[in-house]
Amino acid sequence: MIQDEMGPFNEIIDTTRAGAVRTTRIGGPRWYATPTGREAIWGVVFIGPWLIGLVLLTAGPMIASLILSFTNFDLVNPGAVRFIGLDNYERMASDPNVIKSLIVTFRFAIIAIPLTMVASLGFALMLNSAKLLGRNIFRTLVYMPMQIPLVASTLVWIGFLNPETGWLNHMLGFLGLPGPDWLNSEAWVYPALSLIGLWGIGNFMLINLAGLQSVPTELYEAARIDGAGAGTMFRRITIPLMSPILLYNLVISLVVTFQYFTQAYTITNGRGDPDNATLFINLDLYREAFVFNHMGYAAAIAWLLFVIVMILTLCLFAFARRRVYYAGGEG
Amino acid sequence: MHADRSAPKALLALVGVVAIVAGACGATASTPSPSVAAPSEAPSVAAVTPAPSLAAITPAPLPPNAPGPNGGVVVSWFVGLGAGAQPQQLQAEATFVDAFNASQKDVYISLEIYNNNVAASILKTQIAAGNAPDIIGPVGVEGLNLFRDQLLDLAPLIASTGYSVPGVDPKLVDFFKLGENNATVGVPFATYPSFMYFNKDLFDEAGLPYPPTKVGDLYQGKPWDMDAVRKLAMQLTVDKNGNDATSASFDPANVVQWGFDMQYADNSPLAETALFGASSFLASDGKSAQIPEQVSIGEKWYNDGVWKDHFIPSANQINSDLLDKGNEFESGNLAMNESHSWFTCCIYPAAPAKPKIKQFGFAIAPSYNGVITAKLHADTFSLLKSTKVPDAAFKALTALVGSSELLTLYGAFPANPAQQDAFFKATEANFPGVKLDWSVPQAMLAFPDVPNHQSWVPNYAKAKSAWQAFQNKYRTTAGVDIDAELAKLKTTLQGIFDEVNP
Amino acid sequence: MTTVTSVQKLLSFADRGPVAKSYRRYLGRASLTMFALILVSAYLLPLLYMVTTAFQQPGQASTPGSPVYPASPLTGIYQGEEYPIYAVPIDGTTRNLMLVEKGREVSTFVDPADASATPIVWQGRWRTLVQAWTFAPEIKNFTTAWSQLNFPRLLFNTAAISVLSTLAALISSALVAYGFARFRFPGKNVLFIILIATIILPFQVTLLPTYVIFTRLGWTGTWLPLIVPHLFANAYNVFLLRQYFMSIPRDLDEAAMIDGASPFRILRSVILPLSVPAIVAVTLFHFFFAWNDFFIPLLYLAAKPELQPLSIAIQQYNALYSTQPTLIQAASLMTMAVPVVVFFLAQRAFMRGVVITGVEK
Repeated sequence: MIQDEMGPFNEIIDTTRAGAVRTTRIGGPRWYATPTGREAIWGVVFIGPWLIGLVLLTAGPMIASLILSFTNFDLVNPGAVRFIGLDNYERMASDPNVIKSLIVTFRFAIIAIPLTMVASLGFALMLNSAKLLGRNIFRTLVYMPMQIPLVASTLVWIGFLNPETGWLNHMLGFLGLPGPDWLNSEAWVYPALSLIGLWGIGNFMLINLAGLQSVPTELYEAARIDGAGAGTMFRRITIPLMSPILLYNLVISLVVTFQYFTQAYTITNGRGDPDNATLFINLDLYREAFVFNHMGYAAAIAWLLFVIVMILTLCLFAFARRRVYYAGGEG
Repeated sequence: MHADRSAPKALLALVGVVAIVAGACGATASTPSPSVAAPSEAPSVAAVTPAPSLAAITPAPLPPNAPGPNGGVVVSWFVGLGAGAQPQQLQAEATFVDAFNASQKDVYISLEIYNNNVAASILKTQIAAGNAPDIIGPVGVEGLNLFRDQLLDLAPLIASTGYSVPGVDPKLVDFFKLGENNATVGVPFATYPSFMYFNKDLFDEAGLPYPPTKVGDLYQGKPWDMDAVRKLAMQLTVDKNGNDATSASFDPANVVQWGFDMQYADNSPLAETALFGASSFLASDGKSAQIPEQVSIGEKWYNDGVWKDHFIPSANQINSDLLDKGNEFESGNLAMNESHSWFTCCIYPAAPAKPKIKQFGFAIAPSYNGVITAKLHADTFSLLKSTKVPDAAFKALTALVGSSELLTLYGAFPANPAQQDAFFKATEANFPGVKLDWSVPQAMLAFPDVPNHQSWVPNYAKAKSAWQAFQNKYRTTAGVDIDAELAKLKTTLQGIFDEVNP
Repeated sequence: MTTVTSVQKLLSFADRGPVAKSYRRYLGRASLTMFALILVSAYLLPLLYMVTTAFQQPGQASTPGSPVYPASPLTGIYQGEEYPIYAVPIDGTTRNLMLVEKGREVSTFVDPADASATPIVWQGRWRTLVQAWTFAPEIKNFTTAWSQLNFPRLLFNTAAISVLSTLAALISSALVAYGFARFRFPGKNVLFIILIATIILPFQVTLLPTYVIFTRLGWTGTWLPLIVPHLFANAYNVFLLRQYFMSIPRDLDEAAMIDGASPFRILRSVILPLSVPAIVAVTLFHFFFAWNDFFIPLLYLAAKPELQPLSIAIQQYNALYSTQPTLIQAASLMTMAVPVVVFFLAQRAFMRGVVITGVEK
């Protein structure tokens, strides 16, 4: 039924299905169907800046941190460093803080990632609508929280959420609702951090906004002529054509959520209060490294985190192979 | 590019390869390449902007052993572990350093100021990277604990230079034997006795007499002790309808003025309960965790003060607008605050704001069971073991310690009695129209907490985190069972001590 | 979720039906704009709190019963001293009087209009009275922060660091993304995974080795550690641009290729013009990141206050035991001014509604 409504756009829709993309890629002529060696050289030239940086600045520290994870390296006693094999990794398995922090992080990710994805796309759709008057101003306003220096936004949120004099609980009280103790109760600290996290969606929103520009309006117009509703167009045109951008947002929000640190650190006394309820894995490893000086152990936790996020990312990429549509082919 | 012998061996080995390649990088990066356009950006910007930006992109820092601009040995001074990073202080510190560098040609102080939030992390990074500063400070006992095994023993330098501070009690010199094996890790610089700050406006409004200013004086005919503080503080705690906490119609949900707190105690139970007597979480065997009776009694007193008698603000109340988001006494809504002499920093808000307190005074710390304990803070400057220029660094250190400008700047009670009058005058100049009784802090110096509430325990940073979490819990949560929580804390602390004492 | 569906409903409502089309369109615009206004207002309430704080006199908020907006208490002068004015009910009428002496049950008031008259002794609790306030935004917070922090100098540093590092990041990332999006070469997939891997490892554990490299190079005390790493592209930017480049159909490349264009030329005249929104997005968020970055600049520039950016200076108001919220917020608002204007102007990139992507048909 919907297919019929879409009329001439079946082809585009079809490309989002498994296999179709591949066909396009292999079937289409390539302008550089010249010797593959030349193509490869150009490719390496273009990624050259990154490759140089990888060798000079990035790979070294990464490998160094991996090697440190097999040592007892102590930040303020660097001279006493020695290799301790897999001790750090064994210790991790029975460290209640690591286990707790993994649970905390996963629990938060389940709330934060969908929230980020949906809210940032929703805002972008609204701010992209030609029917919105004063789009320029609205966009500027919605992005503004991203531009507030961290020290200021931390204070703003602590003040705003204070149960005694904060605005939020005053307003809730005005509506006759009880004001929770946002940051000190284990039950409310997640909603509070999610609320604060919503303030950080500006970049995702901006990326979605950029993605929406890549959807040709002719597609919508033609679909409309065919009688497609807004919901249909959203599902059948917007989402498929934005899928590369959505994949990006999903991967990045996964990465940043598992590295969630700054707000947890500044708002929960740097300890994951109350009762370790906000001891996110990255906060735990920061504390091990820079508060307790156990840099070697922290490096081990970091590599555990790395493996987890890497696996999840690879799963996302595998999932995306079938779902994400690249108009330019998969290269 | 040469390996630095003081640098951590392993890390250096790891990074050595990278560093060698990075040497080549200098050439690679600046070679004009079609793909990298930015290097050509740099000169053009430098051309249109004044000198500092040229310096900003010219990698020409002083090699470690090169002399400073005045021809002297470069000594780096790391500020940020304690006081010293406020806007007004930055100026004064820079002025001091400039004057010192201009006054002689042997030593050149290079000043580095870090925000307190991140100072410890950065110092640790520098130590681990073999790029540590020479002098750290001003730093208190707790800060020294955190870097205990990296501090240089100053005793040989003191002996070889014949350094002494005239008029300073030798006990105070011994106070800084805080390092490993009783190493002397600081010289007397600043002491901060603690006493009761009280807001006279609020006492006047309630029609209550001021607390005693002489050791042994009674308050309203009774001993000035913790029980008297509790009763008085309840009379000074008021709700928005003007009922005080002793009244039956008092509304604890709408308190607008509180009677007592120990502000800025860093969530430390030992600091809070020092009024009940000095103690430590570490038993005398140096291995076992203990919950001293003073802590148990004291924390129940505080817990009741917050949740039952309501004269002590809860954590949320402290962070609310009513108590100026943490600076409780400055807000004018806290009647009594037991704090140190450095607290003169924070009674008036910084300009352009107007003070909210018209008149305030100093009173004696209350006693418990007839004994006064006025916990003591002391700041010093220390040298790190890794310094390659200990003699020059010690010379710079003595200059810092001898500066009366810096003392006044940090609100520090001079260790040297001869400097004290000048300090009183300079401090009072900040409070026009207020007459302060300096005999109170002087008297309180005789009642320090021994052991100090910041005394070293094994695995200090982790242990501190545990006792802070305990304190935060009772300040944020009503109905906490203090005995049960302290028992849990004891177990936790034992585990933390055992980590380093197998 | 609600946002998406509501917007969709609004869209469909506005577009359906042939009758009174212009009326419906008008209604659709008005209701969407209204909806956005409410939503964005709620979203930005904490920002309003920030602005309010920036304009408040320090200490206003700690007065019980003070208004939410920036205000100062109405005062009068009595015997050379300033006293606040309260509304006092006396003999059935309410008079505005100065509170000159506070007492728990009895207070003394003076008429501000006639300070020489006998003070009025009033039986009652002054805390139950309503204090008089007047709207008074405190501009001094801004002027103080401006002069105390040497704002112009720091603004220049911040802008210079941000512009240089953004240029570096943008150019390098575009090149690398193009390489990953359009060319086949051995090991490409593995390299791409390695690229992503570089941002998966938390920076807390690579900080130290990186710091060792930069200190060994003698780069502390310069802007180099803040700019040079960006010459080598970073995964956030490369990944985004690659995704966008891959959404551009290849026909256009082919057309240019047939005209004999080199890959560089195709990047410049085909890919980049079609990717303006993504390029602008990358530019903006890298610029804003560099503008507010605090820890890394402090790590490398602590000994050189004359080279520091604004982010470090603002932290001075957050020193141990002396947080000054009003000055922090005022300084932060001034710091934000440039980014906000840049964002407002840069949005043209998103205003075109369509990019002619030359999709076949």
